[in-house]
Amino acid sequence: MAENGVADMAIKNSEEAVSLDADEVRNSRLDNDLIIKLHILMKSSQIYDQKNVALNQVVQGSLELIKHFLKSEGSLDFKVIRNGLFINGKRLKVGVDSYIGFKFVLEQFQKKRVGEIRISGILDEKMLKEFVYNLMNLGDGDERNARKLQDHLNRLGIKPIAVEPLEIFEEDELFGGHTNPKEAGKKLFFETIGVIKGVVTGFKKNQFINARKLKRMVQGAVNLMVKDESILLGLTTIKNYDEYTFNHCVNVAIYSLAIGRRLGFSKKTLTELGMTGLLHDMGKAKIPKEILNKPDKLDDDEWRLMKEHPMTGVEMMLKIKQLGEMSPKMAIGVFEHHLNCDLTGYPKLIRKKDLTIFGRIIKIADCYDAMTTPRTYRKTPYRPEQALAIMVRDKNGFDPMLLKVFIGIIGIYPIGSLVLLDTKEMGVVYETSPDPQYINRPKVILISQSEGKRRIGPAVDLAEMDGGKKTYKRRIVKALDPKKYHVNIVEHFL
Amino acid sequence: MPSVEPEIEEELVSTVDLIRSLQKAIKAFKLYQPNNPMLTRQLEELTTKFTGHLDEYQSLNLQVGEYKLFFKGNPVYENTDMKESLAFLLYKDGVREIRFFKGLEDQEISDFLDVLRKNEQASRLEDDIVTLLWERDFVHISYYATDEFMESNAVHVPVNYEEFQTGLEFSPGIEGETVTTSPQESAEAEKVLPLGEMFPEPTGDQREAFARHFQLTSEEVGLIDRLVNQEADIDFVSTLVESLMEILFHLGEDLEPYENMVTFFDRALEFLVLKGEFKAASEILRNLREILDSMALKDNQIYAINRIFEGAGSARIIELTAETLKHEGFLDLNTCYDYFDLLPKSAIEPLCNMVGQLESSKARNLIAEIVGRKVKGNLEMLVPFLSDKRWIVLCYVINIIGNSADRNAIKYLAQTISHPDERVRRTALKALSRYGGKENKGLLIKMLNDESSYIRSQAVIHLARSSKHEALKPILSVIQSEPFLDRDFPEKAAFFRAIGEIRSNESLPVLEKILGKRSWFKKPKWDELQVCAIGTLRMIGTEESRRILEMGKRSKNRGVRRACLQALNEPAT
Repeated sequence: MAENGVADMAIKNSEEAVSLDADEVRNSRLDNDLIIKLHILMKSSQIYDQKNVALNQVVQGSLELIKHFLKSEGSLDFKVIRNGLFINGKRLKVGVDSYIGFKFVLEQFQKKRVGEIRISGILDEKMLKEFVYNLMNLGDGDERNARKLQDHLNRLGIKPIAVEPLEIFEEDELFGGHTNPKEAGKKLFFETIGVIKGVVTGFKKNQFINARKLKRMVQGAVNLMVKDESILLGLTTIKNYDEYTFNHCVNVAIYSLAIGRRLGFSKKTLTELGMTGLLHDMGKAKIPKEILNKPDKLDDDEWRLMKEHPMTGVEMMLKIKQLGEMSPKMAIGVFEHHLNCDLTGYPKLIRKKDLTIFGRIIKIADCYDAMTTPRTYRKTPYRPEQALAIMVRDKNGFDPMLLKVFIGIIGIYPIGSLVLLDTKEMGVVYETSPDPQYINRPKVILISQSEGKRRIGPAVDLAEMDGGKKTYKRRIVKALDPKKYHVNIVEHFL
Repeated sequence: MPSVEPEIEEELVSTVDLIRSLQKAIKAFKLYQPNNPMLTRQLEELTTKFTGHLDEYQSLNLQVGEYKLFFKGNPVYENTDMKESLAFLLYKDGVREIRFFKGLEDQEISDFLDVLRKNEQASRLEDDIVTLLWERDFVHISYYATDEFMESNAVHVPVNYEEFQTGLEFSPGIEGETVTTSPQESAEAEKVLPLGEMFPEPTGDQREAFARHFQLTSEEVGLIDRLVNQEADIDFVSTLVESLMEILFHLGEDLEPYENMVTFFDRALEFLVLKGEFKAASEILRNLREILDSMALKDNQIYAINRIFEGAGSARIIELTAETLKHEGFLDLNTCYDYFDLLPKSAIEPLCNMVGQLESSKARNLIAEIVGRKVKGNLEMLVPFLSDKRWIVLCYVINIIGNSADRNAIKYLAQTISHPDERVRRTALKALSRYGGKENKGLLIKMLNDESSYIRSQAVIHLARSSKHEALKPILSVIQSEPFLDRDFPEKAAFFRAIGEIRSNESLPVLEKILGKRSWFKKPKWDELQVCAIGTLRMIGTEESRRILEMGKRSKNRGVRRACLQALNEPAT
């Protein structure tokens, strides 16, 4: 069952259950392979010259794949429409392994204003290389690029490839009337905190709960993530201590959505995951504030009450009629978010069972945000890079595969980390490199000190090379404690 | 229509025409099944119009008013009926503009119509049209939606950090602020070596190896793909159900959340049944049964589990199973048996109804067997079906009653022996034949006068076998009645064989009389009676019966003479 499927459910709506039959799965695999190969080819073209033997393997692999498409489907049509890639008319269902390639290829085509490539005959090694190198050499933003590339291919006698320009659609609204992603992100972030607060207080007072609004918020978040993941991830560094629980819920939803997107969840599943993130700590509404904010160690009774919050949350969730035909995955995600991979944690299970993917994702997002947020009982939170290191070492706590995906999103110096560079500058990490090979080379906002004055900016990519020397311009020496250096991380994201 | 700028006049006409087609297609989409030719025609027309319009004008932007659609300020559609209005359907959920772009595909048109249809059917609690449009992720359709209609308190969005911080009551601080950090906390935090410092800076060729620490292996990619796509697996439902069971165990005293839980289980079972996955469905029910039998549960939990069982055997689910079982060739009937067997007694009614829907006799027999087990001791549950209009249902119900070995069965079977459909009466007779006793005798005697020769013939044999001597009088009464002479030979033979099986000398006077009868009127019919009577005398085999046969040897009727001689030479059977 491919999309909207058992199964969400399968259970959720059997009529809509998604069914991926064997052929679909196989084709989806081939489509993803094609993107991965194209990504490597395009990247390699920036590093090696055309004659470099390092290219041979990937070129051969790509040619084989193209041949396969030509044989089985007659032609290979590769098209970019909005934020989607279409292969022979079918939208690419991005897999966890092809996400980075997908992002790269999509961005390159959009930048180069090339919208469609049609391959109608067998290519040889030279033709493919010529095409890729010429494509990558096109300047950014030039609407004549497709024509230029086509002319060039024609001159070289490469007839099986046809190139069309990118179709430009008028800009869609991102969220709340904004087309500026950063502003849209901020509005969405704070509004969502307000809405989730409204949901929880509304529930307490037995008032109408605006679940639709909550859903819209999640949709807005997904729209933004498609545009630029780093905006919302950056906003998670904002810690609204007065509204800890609500702020935390929004952060958990953001991290969860980022993981869900990497995994290739459908929009519908992403909505459910985002909603689960937003509602995962709802049960805490039933815990007295004095316990939640108690600076000392909780006594047994208080701890027992605390441990009930996942189940209380599920009960509350199950009572919200406005959620309509809620997916059981959401309730289960809330139930499981304090369960470890080895099934320890709470609530204590009566029978052994597998944790669901929602539960595993929320667990990672929840822990990471909780560890990096100061609370009355732990004034010094872990710094992002420390929290991540602790989570990686906890072999029984987190799903190691999903943790890797999470690290791929936030980086090993996660967004919001303060780092010392070998240039003696400091930097606030604001975006991770999409390429795992450069996971330790994020983009940072520089903070430098000269003549007793602190200067902020510019933003630099640590993967940037120093042209002539063929070395990196900067590298991270170590992570720093922002408090020691009087750096306020949040101000760089607001 | 107000005056229209000349440059958009043609476009406006084309838009109006397109919307008219859209309306027709929406209507057809609601009325007809997917393959209906009317729907196909409307869709084709709409696709042609869309393609033509978008090829010419690149896009179509419609502004959405409460009851009107506008194109560049000109109304192109109006309908104030809230139930029917396309404009209102979009407007009520906040859609204010909808755009279609060149390249719009057939599938997108059909999906768009599906969204409109779904939204119309959806309750207030379910997804609104904005969500439905958003989830479809259309490539060539976009929309602008406002959420102004949604009540929400205005939220202040701080312009910068200073503004954000001003509003805070509690702040753990950055520097020199209210909160201090204990040295112990700081020391603890510093012990943790960040991930980035656990690995030396990779150079050149080391980068790939370095990246591998944080990259998924191909095996992990496969595992994640399976996790992500697991909704396609039946096993996923089982996984979800296991989790739901855990939640069920943890639910408290409040009854309300149980309702939703029950719905989850209902949907899971419905899904499995639809897919023909009776094994998985049975497994769920079996687990729940085990839990009910072995665990100390709260009253609410017991209530919920019982509700799940009722749901599993509800009319709706059983109807779905009937649909699935129609393709019984693909199913293992044993697993279906397990599922039905686990259903509660409340499933009896829908199961009986199901018999009327099934085409396969194998499947019908299976259901009948299950119902038989469930009604044990409660035959009255089947009474409503004794007046069912479907003969096949009635026959199966009669069969179940017949097989029940319940003394009350005869009381219920009595209602069926005069059913207008012979197939029903035949089944009733067969069911009755499994019982003896007084009440049975009365019913069988009634059936000796059934309009069907086959039934009369069968009834007489059963009567003789079950009532012995007591059956003799009514049987003799029938064979001496005037119409009996005209009945066909097999029926006559059956009646006489019945008398023979009783082996009573009390029948001899009647037999002797028949043997001695000489009639030219309807002679062949009398011949048949006499042959039958001779056979019966032989069967009785007493001295008295043999004496009558001896007398028959001297009959003037050659046929009688020869038959009696033969009967005397053969042993009684």
